[in-house]
Amino acid sequence: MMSLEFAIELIKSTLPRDCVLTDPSATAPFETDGLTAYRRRPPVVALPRDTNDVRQVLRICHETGIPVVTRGAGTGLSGGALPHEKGVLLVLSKMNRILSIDEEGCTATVQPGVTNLSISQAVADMGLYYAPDPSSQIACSIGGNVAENAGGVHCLKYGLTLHNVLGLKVQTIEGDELVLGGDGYESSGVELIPLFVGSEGMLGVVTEITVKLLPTPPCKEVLLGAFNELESAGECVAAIIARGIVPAGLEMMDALAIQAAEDYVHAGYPRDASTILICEVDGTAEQVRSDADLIGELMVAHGADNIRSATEPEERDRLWQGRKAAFPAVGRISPDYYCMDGTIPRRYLSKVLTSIATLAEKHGLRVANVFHAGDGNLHPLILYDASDDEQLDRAERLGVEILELCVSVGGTVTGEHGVGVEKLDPMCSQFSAPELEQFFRLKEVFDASGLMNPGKAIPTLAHCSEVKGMHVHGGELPFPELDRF
Amino acid sequence: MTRSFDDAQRLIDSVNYAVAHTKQLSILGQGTKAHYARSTQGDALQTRDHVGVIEYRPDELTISVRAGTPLTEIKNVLNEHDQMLACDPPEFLGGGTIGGAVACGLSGPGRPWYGNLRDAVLGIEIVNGLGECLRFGGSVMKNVAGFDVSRLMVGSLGIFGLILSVNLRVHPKPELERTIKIDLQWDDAWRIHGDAISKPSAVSATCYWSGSLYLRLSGNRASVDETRMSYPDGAEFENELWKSVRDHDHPFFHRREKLRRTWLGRGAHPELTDARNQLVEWAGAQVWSHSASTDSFAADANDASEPFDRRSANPETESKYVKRLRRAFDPHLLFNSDLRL
Ligand SMILES: Cc1cc2nc3c(=O)[nH]c(=O)nc-3n(C[C@H](O)[C@H](O)[C@H](O)COP(=O)(O)OP(=O)(O)OC[C@H]3O[C@@H](n4cnc5c(N)ncnc54)[C@H](O)[C@@H]3O)c2cc1C
Repeated sequence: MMSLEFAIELIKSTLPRDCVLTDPSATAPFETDGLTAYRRRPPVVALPRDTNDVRQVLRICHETGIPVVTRGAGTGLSGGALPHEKGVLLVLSKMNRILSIDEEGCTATVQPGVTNLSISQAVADMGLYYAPDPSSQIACSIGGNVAENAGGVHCLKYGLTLHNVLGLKVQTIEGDELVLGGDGYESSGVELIPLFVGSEGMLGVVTEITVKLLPTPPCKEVLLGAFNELESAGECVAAIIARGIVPAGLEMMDALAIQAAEDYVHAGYPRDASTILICEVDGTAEQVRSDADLIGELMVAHGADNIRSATEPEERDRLWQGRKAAFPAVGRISPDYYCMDGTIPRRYLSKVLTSIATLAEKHGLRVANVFHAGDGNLHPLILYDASDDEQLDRAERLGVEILELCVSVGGTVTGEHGVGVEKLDPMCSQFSAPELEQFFRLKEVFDASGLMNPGKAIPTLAHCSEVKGMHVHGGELPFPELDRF
Repeated sequence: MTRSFDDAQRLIDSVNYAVAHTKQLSILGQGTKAHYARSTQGDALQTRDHVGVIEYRPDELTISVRAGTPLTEIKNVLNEHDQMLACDPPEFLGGGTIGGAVACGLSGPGRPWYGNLRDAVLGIEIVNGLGECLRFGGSVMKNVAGFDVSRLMVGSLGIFGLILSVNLRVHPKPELERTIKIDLQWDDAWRIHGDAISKPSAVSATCYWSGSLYLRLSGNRASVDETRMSYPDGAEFENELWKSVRDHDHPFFHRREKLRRTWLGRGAHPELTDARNQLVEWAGAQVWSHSASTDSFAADANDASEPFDRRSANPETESKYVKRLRRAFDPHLLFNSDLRL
């Protein structure tokens, strides 16, 4: 490895002055992403203007053996864009142009730094939109969405980022440009898009994305049902799906979240409810009418009182308002919160939520739940005070136990926020040693020198052996081949 | 009840035997897609006895099945709960296994509206070329832990490993399905194709052949009726059409030799010159042709065209990354070694 200073000089001589930051006051804003418990000052921040700049920086990193961490908007919640202390932080925010829109074919081709919401805004006049809508959509970049396979409220019906990406251009650290997919539905050869979507910047830098646009549904209706029992709300979710309805969104909030949201935005949610379900259906007028009627009946059948519904945009927004403001609302009632992201089979919703409450009590912490109930993606928010090391420690332990609980019922440690640096430990309980080794062999295919976002997303076997409480996976002792690492 | 038998251990043993004796393996289900992709190298590794539904959860919209399970059986099981595999993979010669369907990744006529098998795969269990049994993904809707190996397997023609089982997302069946036939010029049909993807409607499949456009409408009665009214010139037609197109039983496919498919950008407007020898699906995004007419429509540079028969794929076209990927899963190149992606 050549010196980092030498690499920085090379980058400075290649990119314009205002595209390279080394001054600590200028690099400070980049020391953390949305997972603020982790901070690291990047020695150098490169802000490429175009694909060619990206290629130059990657070439320099490859030649000098310096690690590179790609960053979009830095809203990630798992520390994926946490800088490397001896590496380059490649920030794509200047690459924020929509390159083309094909109204007839319903596609848009964009640079990675374009924000998620701005795509939908740009095509709204054409009666189109881009479906995946993470709550961070005003800020997060589409490149970051691809790297995390981001989801959102409407993913139950319209799929995740993966299902809405048709084509990618990816730059590898070896200097190749991979053109994957295109603007059609299929293409010849092996389909590598799934490998790059959700790869957390470990395989290459995504420099161009072609997304699928959908026609804006002519009608929408939002229903809000309040339940006295968590169990009956959980059963109602299962019943809606089992009746053959796939709502556009199906969200759940628990009592603590409802109260925090009410105190903050006064959306008119029933304060005395133990749980509320918010459900949106969309489509043609007839389809919406019949789906909404059936959902209303199912809510009543499961004991909901106080059902509200809205068809007009302002009323609908009002019903969504509390849900959309839930994270900041919870932020107001606690100095800090830690957002988990496990996904479980829907039928275990009430069982897992009850167990989470028990675990929280054991650790003496409060947990608020606001989440994508329709696809079983939980977001328990653990409330704690980061200025108290002991509390942070307890919060982290509770977090790990919650994720292990999710895995134990057949779920996963992360539904949409990614592994990053945050979930390396629970990854050790979800995957066996040969599976983790297979992941590393895959990484080597595109990044033989191991310079792309090293140390993230996939734990090494050595890391897993350090994690306390060795986990048994598939009936075998997990790491029989430890001496290799 | 469907047949259920766990043949995994024998399959894993066979792979380990091949590793130990440097033998090659040709993975084989029912052989119904032999004309598409079938390895002729090495000993046959039969998945046909590894069958059965491991778990079906209609309330979760998920099904988990062993690779050798016949597609028809899976469809029957789902049908009992008014559910379906939305991507509707072809059943050539009336059959095929789910493992073969995943390895080939072919989609039915509803592709633009219902997605493909890749979209439906939630998790997979494979045996790699080291004889290791590995699981990726799971049975939940959202899962971003680790690289998405399960979806990478879809369409990979078995070159990365043997698929043992798959977890799939299933969909509720539409309440109603009907088909209409409209006789029109290609340019007018093309315009309707555009509407079918850019405007909300009940259209869920299209097919243009020999001067007629066929539309499948699905949804609840009201929405199907609403869309039906926008096509007053349409005549009722049998729903069976879609199965015949999907399974290549339609008269267009009777000539099997030199069959090509071309994928076009969603907004492309190709010129069709030989309406009987070209069949257009997927709202214009997939064009089938017999080789005599291959060049008779102007496809632009972005369009991909290839012979349907993958056995003739040129080994030179495999990129260095695909070669490395293959080695990353299967260092001794045991599996389907003569097939190329
Ligand atoms: C309040 C809030 C709400 C949120 N709600 C949701 C939600 O509902 N659903 C959801 O899924 N997520 C949500 N998130 C998480 C986050 O917004 C998403 O993960 C988003 O996709 C990250 O995009 P970004 O541009 O900020 O990426 P960054 O944080 O900058 O980077 C994320 C990862 O992607 C990599 N990366 C970024 N760009 C590229 C590229 N062009 N090429 C290769 N790798 C790249 C980085 O290396 C890093 O590993 C939320 C976050 C916040 C703060």
